[in-house]
Amino acid sequence: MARRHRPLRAVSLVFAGFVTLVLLSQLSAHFFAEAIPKHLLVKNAAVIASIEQTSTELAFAAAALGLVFAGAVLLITRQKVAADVDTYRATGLPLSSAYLRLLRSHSVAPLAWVAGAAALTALVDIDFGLDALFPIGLAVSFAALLVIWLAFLSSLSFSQKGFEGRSGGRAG
Amino acid sequence: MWIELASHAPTIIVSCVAMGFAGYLATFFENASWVAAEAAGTTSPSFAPSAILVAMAALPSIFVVLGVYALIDANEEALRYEVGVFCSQGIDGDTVIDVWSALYGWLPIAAYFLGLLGYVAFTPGVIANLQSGLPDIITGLFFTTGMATLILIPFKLNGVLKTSPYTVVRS
Repeated sequence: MARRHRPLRAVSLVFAGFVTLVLLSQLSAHFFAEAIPKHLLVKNAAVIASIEQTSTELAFAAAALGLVFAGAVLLITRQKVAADVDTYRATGLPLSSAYLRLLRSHSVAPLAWVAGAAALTALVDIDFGLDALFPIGLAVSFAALLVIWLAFLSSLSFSQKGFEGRSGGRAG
Repeated sequence: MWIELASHAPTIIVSCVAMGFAGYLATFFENASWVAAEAAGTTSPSFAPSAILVAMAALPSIFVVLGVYALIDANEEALRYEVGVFCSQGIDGDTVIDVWSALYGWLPIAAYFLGLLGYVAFTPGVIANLQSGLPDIITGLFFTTGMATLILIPFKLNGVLKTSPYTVVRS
């Protein structure tokens, strides 16, 4: 039953994994610069700039891919979450209450994971002098994606006329 | 196999794109490490950050494999239903696992390999930088990714098979 009630737990892993991939991309430029002794920095300035640019591009790509991956998980789990919305609706709850219950039961664990991963990543970034706003921005995007998706599913369910209108006749 | 490929196509495409990206990222880390080592020499203190970059190269694929695991986990009920349908048609459960392992294991590994080669092919100077180390790097990354994928994914798929109602009833 615990599995039944947490269909979005898989998204937690995706969120945290891709935030870490962004961190790895950011760190690669840092470790590359660290690997070159101070007296050779000027001589290798062009190479360092090239690696830094590529690592920034890859960090953005990792962030974009993370959002796509998370979106795929949300789409796959759509039916399970929609079934919960239908249940709330069938018990006579208004949209706002159903949405709040949905947030409480489905978004707490994924958001906790992404907040944890983003906090750790930001700490590492600050420690190494990197741009901490990047993973934080990604974490906020993930959170927004999840909250908006749940709002969309709730409003979609409540916008339908009759409960029996859903395919498969769940109400029966 | 082809019917399964069509029905699982969106999930497999996302997995393959992510694995291809992981391969690209891994080769970038390896190349950065080798360029740094060449620019600075391989003596301490430059050796340690270089070695860290090499270790980092193994990580992207592991995170993506965990992501594929999460996708399968999210899709678990549909897969259990599929097992029931196939088994009721007389198809052996192990055959279903073999097909799924090919789709969620071997195809992403192939995509990872293409990602590795993609960075080498589209970034000028990489082959010259990595020189004789290139086969070892590719083999090492490929082996690490293959091990992670072909242990974790079939493990998860076997879990799905064992918890399928059809399998439970039959046992």
